This record gives sequence, structure tokens and C-alpha cells, in this order.
Amino acid sequence: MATLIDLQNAIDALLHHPAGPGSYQLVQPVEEKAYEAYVFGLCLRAVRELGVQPLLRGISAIPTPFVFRGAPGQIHSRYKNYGYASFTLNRHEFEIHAGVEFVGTSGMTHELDVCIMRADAAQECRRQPNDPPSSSAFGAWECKFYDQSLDKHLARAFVGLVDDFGSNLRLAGFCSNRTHSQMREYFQPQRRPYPHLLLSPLDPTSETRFVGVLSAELKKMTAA
Amino acid sequence: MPAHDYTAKDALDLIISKIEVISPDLSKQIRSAIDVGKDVQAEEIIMPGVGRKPAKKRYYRKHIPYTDAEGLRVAMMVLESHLVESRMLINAAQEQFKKVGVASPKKLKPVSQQEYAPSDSLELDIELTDEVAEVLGVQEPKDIAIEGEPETVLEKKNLPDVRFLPIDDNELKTLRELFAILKPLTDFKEPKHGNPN
Repeated sequence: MATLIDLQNAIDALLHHPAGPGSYQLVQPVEEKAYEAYVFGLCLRAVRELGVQPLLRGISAIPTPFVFRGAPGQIHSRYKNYGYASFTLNRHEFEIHAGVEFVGTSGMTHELDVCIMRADAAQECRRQPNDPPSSSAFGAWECKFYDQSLDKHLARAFVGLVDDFGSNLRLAGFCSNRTHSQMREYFQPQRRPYPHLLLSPLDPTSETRFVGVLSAELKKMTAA
Repeated sequence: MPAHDYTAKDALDLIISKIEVISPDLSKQIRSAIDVGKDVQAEEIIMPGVGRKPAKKRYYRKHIPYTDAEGLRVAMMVLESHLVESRMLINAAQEQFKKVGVASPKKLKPVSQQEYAPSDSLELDIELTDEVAEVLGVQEPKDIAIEGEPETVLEKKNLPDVRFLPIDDNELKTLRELFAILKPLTDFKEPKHGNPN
């Protein structure tokens, strides 16, 4: 039978671990963006698995470091050397971005945590500073790192965003390391985003599923 | 026979009090996750009048607090998210970034100023061409950072960008082992009896 002393010893060992609770202050500020970077990384993997080598770029120079926006921003902003990735698949050129704002069909602007868009539209918006139209987005992912059960309103907000993106958006996914008991049902109807719930390095199957869905859609779109 | 000589409440109090000393923020985060509570399906029996149809049940959703055992499970989940999962995210992102190259621009092409709306804040006299001279850094670790101070901050303090620092695999392994030890010590689920089939 486990005793309180056993528990005490186990907690003490965790507390004194160099990466234990004492280092929480170092981890906390980057957690949410780390999840976006993780999903961005899965997009890179999906592209590589199609036999294509994506490239990391910066808006003004070689991306060293590769900078993720700290808040939603504009694709043409040169405030920092923000990073993005580019790739060409079957002569279709794409870019992968994080934290970029688009203009929806209603005229309202929306931020996409991670997205894949047509490279020509991105290039045009950098040349003639403007927000890209939602019709230039191929895939859109909302990324939520949570330490507890998800809030339902996040799903409702993303469904509203996807609706305003119009029919050119081929793929939309709600990604989180957590889930909510009612969320899978909410995402079931056609045209609702794909629920990538419990998507985390703790569950490699969920990663494979994400990569598979994205690769298949990219292949389908660029097949002709 | 119970698996522990202490209650879930004892365990929860012990964990929170110990973490509070080391990291008050993390302990606050744990408490707030526990206080969210849960949704349950409650039932109500509607009694008919004498001589009428049999009693009916009505179901409805209700928010209630977690039990101590559930609260303990939530506390462990919060701890694992922040200490293990978030580190694994950083390592996983680093691994994927490592496998791709960074593009070196072939040359800087002057672009006609007439193409742009005048603006003092944009340095648009040059534009990188899309041609790639060489691909650098495939299979090399990449430096990934989060902007420390977004563009729209009014009073800038020149905060530095925050670097993603990957955790050493061995440290992550020992951390996961500690959680593996803690899990049975904090699991107060009733064991299942009989043949599950």
C-alpha cells in the first residue's frame, strides 16, 4: 500500500528536478506559441512527406532566428524579420505562415494561428502592403495549448471564422492538446473544421493523422 | 483493499502546498483549473398524479465541482502539461525545423518606389527575389524565437525575443519517469472487479 511518505518523496523528487516546477517561469511565456510552432512543424513534415523540401524564410533576410509573431500581425510587416516557409508542389507555390491576418469575405479581418496560402498572393501583399484575402488561404488551423478542458467558445469562434473565409479554403482544423466532451459532436457537420483534438507529441497517432489529412489535401489540390 | 493509506484530499493538499512554495504561479494555475469544475448529466424523476402513467425521468446538464480524486487528476494533468508536454512541443518543433533548410536569397533586386504607397515605417527599397542561391542549414538545429514585444505595443521597453530552449532528452526522460511514479500514487479510481468481458 502506498503511503503519504511515498507520495511526499515522489513530489520532492519532482520539485528538485532541474526542469521541475521551479523552471515554470521559463516555460510559461512560450507555451502557447510553442504549440503554434509545433503545428507549423507538422505542416513542414506533411510537405516533406510529399517529397518536397520546404524552405524557411524571413520577410527581410535569412531567418536566424526564425521569429514567430508575439501577437496577430500583418503579412507585410517588417517590424521584425518574421519567419515563414515556402514550398512548391506540382508547380503550385505555397507559403506557410503563423499569426497572420486575412480579410474575410465580410471584410472583417481574422488572424490565423497557422495557415498555408498561395505564394503569389502573399508576395503581392508584401509588395503592395495589404492584408491577404481569405480566398488566398488553402488551409487554416487554430492552435490552442491548454492545461485543462477546452472552452467551448473557442470552437464556436473558429467555426465563425471559417464560415467567413468562403469556399476557397480547402482545409480547416481546430488543434489542441486537450479536448472537450461536446466538441467532437460540434465539429461533426459537413464544412465544420476538422477536430485535431488531443494533438500532442504525447500521442504520435494524432500527429500522423494531422500530417495524413494535410498531405492528402495538398496532393488532391495540386494533382491536376 | 485501498491502494493508499491517505485520501485524495490529503494528496491534493500536499501537492498544492509544496508547489506553492516553489512556484506560486503554477499552484494558482492548478487551483484555477480545478475550480472550473465539470459538466454532468443530472436526472430528475417526475412523479405523475395518482392513477396516471408511471414515473418518468428527465435528464439535464449541470455544472458541479470536481471530487477530490478528480481534482487530484486535474492537478496532475496541469503539472504534466506545463512541465512535460510543453517541453515536448518545443523539442518536436525543433526536430521538424531542423529537417528543413533556410533559404539564402540570390540577390537583392531594387524595386521601383512607385509600386508602393509612401510610408516611413516600411523599408521597401529592396525586395528579396524568390530565387534561391543555396539552401543552408538542413539537418542543423534552428534558432526559433517569439517576438518579445509586438509591433503594436505603445510604450516599448525593448524586450528581447524569447528563445525556444529545447530540453535535453535525458532530462525529459527523467521527468517523464517521475510522472510515471507519481501517477499510481495519485490515482484514486476504483479498481474494476470481475471479468471485463
